[in-house]
Amino acid sequence: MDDNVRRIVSPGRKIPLAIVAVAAIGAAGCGSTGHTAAPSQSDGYAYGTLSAQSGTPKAGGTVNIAESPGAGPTYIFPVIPGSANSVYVMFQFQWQMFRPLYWYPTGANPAVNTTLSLASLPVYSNGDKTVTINLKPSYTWSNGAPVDANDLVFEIDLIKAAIKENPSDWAAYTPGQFPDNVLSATATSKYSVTLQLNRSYNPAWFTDNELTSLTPLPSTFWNKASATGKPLNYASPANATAIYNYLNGQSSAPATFATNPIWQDVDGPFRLKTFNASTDAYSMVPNQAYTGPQKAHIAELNALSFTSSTAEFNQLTSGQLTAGAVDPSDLSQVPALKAAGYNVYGLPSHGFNFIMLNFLDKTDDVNKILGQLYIRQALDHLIDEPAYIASKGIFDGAAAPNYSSVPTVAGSPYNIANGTTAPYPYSISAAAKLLTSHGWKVVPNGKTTCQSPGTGPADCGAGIPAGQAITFNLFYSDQTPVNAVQCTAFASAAAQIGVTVNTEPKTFSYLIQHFNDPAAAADDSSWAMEQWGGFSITPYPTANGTFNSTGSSNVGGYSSPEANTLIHNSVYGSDPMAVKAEGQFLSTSLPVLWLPSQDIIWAWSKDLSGPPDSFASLTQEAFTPEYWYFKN
Amino acid sequence: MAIYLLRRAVTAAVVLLGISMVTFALLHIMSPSPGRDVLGLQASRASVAAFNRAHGFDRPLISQYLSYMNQLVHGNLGYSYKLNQSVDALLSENAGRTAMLVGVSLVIAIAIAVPLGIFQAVKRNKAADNVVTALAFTAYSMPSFFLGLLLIDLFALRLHLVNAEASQSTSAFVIFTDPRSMVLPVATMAAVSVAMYSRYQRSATLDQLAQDYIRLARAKGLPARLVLTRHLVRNACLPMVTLIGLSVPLLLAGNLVIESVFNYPGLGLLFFNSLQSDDYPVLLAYTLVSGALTVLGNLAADISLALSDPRIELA
Repeated sequence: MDDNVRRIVSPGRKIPLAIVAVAAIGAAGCGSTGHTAAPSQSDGYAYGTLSAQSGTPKAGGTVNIAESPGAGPTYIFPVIPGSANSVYVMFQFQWQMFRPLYWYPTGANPAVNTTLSLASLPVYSNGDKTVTINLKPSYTWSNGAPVDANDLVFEIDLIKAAIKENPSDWAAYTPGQFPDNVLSATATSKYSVTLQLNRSYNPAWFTDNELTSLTPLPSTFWNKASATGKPLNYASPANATAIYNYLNGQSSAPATFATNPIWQDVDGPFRLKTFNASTDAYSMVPNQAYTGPQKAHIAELNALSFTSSTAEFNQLTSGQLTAGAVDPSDLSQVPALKAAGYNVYGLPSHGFNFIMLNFLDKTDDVNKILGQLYIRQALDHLIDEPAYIASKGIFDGAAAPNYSSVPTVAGSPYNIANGTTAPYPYSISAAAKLLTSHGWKVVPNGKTTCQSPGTGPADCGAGIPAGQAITFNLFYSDQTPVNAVQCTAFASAAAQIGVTVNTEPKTFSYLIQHFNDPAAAADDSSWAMEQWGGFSITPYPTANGTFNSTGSSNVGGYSSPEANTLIHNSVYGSDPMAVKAEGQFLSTSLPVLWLPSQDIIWAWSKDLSGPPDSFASLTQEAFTPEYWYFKN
Repeated sequence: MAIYLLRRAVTAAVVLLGISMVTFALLHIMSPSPGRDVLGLQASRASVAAFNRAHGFDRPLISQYLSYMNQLVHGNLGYSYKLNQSVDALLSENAGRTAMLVGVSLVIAIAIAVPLGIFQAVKRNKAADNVVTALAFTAYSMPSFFLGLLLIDLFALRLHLVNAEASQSTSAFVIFTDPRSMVLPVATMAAVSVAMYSRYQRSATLDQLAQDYIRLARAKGLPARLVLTRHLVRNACLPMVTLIGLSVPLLLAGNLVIESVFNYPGLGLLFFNSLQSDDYPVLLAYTLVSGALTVLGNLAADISLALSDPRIELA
C-alpha cells in the first residue's frame, strides 16, 4: 500500500482498498468523539446540518444500521490481507471489537482521536529515529488481561510473519516501509514500546501513515497454533508464523466468527453476537468488560446487509433502519426522508478526485503536449467545478470543490492557502489565450494546431511539431453517471478551443488492470486520460507513491524534481507541516486535473442522538455507536 | 433409451469441457491481473505480484487451466479470495434460496399461465382475450425492477400490507414461513413469466384447435369441456414442457433484478458481484454449473416430451 493514499472513491461506490494511516500530530486535543462541539470539517460544503445532541440517554434499544451494499465484512483477524481490506471491514466491523493503537477520524476531521486511542501520542527522539509508544493502562481484554506493551509487539511479530509468507497478506504493507523500516520493537516496560527506526522519518508522517495501521492483539490468549495448543513464544519467527497461520485460518471461516472463542476476547466496546456468512450481516452486543471512555448505551447493534442502494433506501423510507447511507441517486427524495423522521447529513470523504493524465502516452505526442504546464493549465481552465457541484444532473449540491492533493478540512493544520479556490478558474477564453500565446492556432469547434514549434516562451514546446493537433482519449468508469457527465462536460468545453477529447466508458476493473499498473509499460500509449473517481487519503496527506517520480502508484508518469523534493520532505523531513508546501505546489503543477469531491451522506433516526462527532464520523465511514442512545 | 442417454451424456461432457475452456480463456483475457483488481490500485507491485504468484495467475494459461480442471475433478470448485469462503460453500449457501424463489415463482407462473393461455385461445378475439392480451403485453414489456418498485411503493410503503424487503432468513423454506416478506418478490418474478408463458400457451392452443382431431371430437358431439380436458390440453401443453425444461438453468441463475430490488441475496447477485471483482473461482464454477443445468434441462425436456407424446421416439 503506497503511503497515504488508501482507497479509491468512485462516486456511488467505494472500492475496498487498504486503509492504514492517519493522525495529525498537531491535531492532538482537537476534540474527540466524546465532545459535543460542532464537527470540525468545513460546514460550508456540508450537505445539510448536523443536529445537536439532545434528550437524555435511555439504556437499551437496538440500532439497525445498513452495511454498504455488497461490502460486508469477510475477515475478522485484525492483520487484514489486501483482498479483504476496506473501511467497512476495519472501521465499521473490526474496530468495534479490537481497538486500534491510534483511532481516527475525530468526527469528520481526519485526525487521531486521542480519547479513543489505546495509546498516548508517540514521542520521537534520537533525531526522529526512536519512537516511544505509551499504552494507556486503563484498557483490558474481556478475559481480564491488560492491554499492554506485549500485545503491540505481538501484533508486529505477526505482521512480519504475514508479509514473509506473502506481501499481500497485510494490506498496509509497502516494501521498505513498516515493518521493514523498524529495526527493533521492544517492550521496555509494562505499557511502553520502543521502536528503533532505520532512519529519521517525519514524525507526522510516521504517526499518521504507519502507526495508525497497528492494532494490539491479546498476546496471552492468541499465542497458540491450534485451538488446544500450548502458548508459544511469538518472538521466534517460526512460532509467529505458526500463530499467524492458525489465526488466519480461523478468520477464513466466516460461519464461525460469532462462535469462535478467539474472536470473543475483545478490548472494544462491542463483541460479536451473530454473523451470517451468507450475507455478511452481523449483530453486536456491548462488551460488559469494556474499560474505554464510553460504554455502549444501546443493547444491540445490527448491521444489515443489502443487495443494492435501492433496497437499502426502501428500508430507510419504510422506517426499518435506524441509520443508513443515502446514495447520490436518491438525493431528490431527501425531503421525504426528513419528513419520515430522519436526520440527513453529508460531507466529502477526506480525499481528492481527478482526471488522471498520462505523461507517458506517445500517441499523437500526448506525452509532449501534457508535459507542457501551460497546456495543463488550459485544460484545467475547462473544468467548471462550481457548476458541476451545483448541477442537478451531476452533484446536485452534494460535493465540495477540490484543487489539490491536500483536501481542505476545517481545523486541519495541513490546509493549504486558498484550498477551495480554483488556481485556474473556468474560462474558455483564458484557456484559448494560453494556447495562442504559445504558438497554437486556436480553431473553436475545429482543430487547433501548433503553428510555432520550438522551445521559446511563445512556442508550443519541446518535441511538438508544426501542425500537431491536440487530441486525447479519455476513458471513464461506467460505475456511475456522474463520471460520464463530468467527462462529457469537459470534452464539450475542450471542443470550444479546438481540442479533441474522445470519451469512452470502461468498467472500473478494466481501467485499473489495463491502465493503472505502472509496471505494465505495454499499455503506456493506449490512454491519455482516465477518470474513475479519486483517492481517499490519510490526514497527513502526502502524495508519496502517487506523484513522486519513483512512486509505485504513479500510473501517469508525472515527474517533477520539485515535487520529488517536497514529497521527500513530507516523508523524511523534520517539519510536520512539510506536506502543506507539497500540496500547494501540486495544486498548481497539475499532475492531474482536479474534480469536485462528492459527499458521503447518511441518514439516521431522529429518535437517536449522541455527540455530533459520533454522527459526523459516519461521513468518513467510521462508526462509534457506543456514543449513540435512544432518547427518553 | 439407455443408448440415447449415454450419447447425450458424452455430448454433455464435451459441451461442458468447451464451456470451461472458453470461459477460462475469456476471463483471463478480460482480467490479465486479478491481483491488481483484488488488492486495489494502491497495492504495491510486490503485493500484486505475490498475490498473482500465490494463486497461480502468473503461470501460463494452459497450466492454470489444467490445474483448475484437476481440482475440479476432485470435487473442489476453488476458493473465493474476495469473499473469504470456498466456492462450494458460497453456492450451497445461496442455491437453496435462489432455487426456492425461482421454483415457486415458476410453479405459480405455470399454474396461472397454462389455463389463462387456453382460456384466451378458446375465447380468441373476444373481449376477455383482448383484455388479458393487453395485460400480458403490459406486464411483459414492463421492466421487472420497475414493477417491483411499484409493488413496493403501493403494498409496502403506502398500504403496509407486506414488507418492502424479502426475508433475510438463510432458510430455503422462508417463502412458506415468512410469506409477508416473500409475496412481492414472488409476485414480481411470476408476473413477467405469466405474461410470457400465457402467450406461448395461447399460441400452442390455437394451433391445436385448428387440428382435425379437435374438429372430429366436436363433430362426434363431445361436450366442449371434454374436448378441452381430454383432447386439447395434453397436446397444447407440449411446447410448455420444452419451455419449462429450458427454465431449469434459471433455478441457478436467479434473477439479479429481483435480488437487488428486494434485498434477497442469491446466486444471480453472487455472479454479478463476482464479475465486477474478477472473482475467477466463483465465475468459473457458476458458469460450469449453469452449463450443466442447461444441458440437463434440455435432456429433461426431451425425455418429458417423449413420455408425454408417444409419437416421439428417442434414439
